[in-house]
Amino acid sequence: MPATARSTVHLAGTRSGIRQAIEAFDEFRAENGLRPSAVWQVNVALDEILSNIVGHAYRNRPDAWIDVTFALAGGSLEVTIVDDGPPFDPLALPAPDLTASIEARRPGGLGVHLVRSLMDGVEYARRDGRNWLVLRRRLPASEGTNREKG
Amino acid sequence: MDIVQEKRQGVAVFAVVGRIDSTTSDTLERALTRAIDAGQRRFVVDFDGVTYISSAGLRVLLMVAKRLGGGRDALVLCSLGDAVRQVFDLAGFLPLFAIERSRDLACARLAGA
Repeated sequence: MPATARSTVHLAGTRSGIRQAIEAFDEFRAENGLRPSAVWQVNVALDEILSNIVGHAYRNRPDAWIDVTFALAGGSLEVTIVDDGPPFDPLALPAPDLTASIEARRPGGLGVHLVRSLMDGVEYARRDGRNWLVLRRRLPASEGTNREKG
Repeated sequence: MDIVQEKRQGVAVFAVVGRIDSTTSDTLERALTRAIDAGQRRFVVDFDGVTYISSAGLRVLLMVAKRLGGGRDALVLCSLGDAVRQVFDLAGFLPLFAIERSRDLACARLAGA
């Protein structure tokens, strides 16, 4: 039977909130016997989305919050990120120019491009005055089936 | 994230250990910027101990490369693991940087420069 697990953390919409999210994900990963090398893509996506929210939508507003839920079901890792900042659909951002030289390179848009590329599914919705973003990543077949081995 | 620095024949080696993301990239940026400000012009960044890099880290590398004039004779990256290499590939960074398999090769490339 495939493992099912779920964990939610309520975080401040600040840089320290991002650090807490990383710790919470490390914990969830370890509890479910997932190796770091099998889930680093989720780490990157999480960092991109949270730093976008904290840097742009909240600008370190101290009362801002973000809810992050990690779920493991059916061989996929799913991360749901909810915030109450202004409507912001990261999927609507234009694709970055990946061919420009170092001098002409602009880093903007690169983060969301990485999220799209590294995840198997990304969905955005604006509901009840909140942004909902769901990241989904299929895990290698062998992953998380044996908790003892880690 | 930790940074272990060493100097080899005028080449400053920055070996990064851990994750390079929005919570750690400032530390890397400060360390590299400080060295550039101090007049250092030849850098190796060793990714052997890096678990992953997000766009916050890519931004730092881009900034450093620009400050060094984009020169492949000034900045060499080495020992990219699978995760780092994949992010570089997706971001179109592989053709932008001088990349070597090992620290020795990276230093050798700059020592002759």
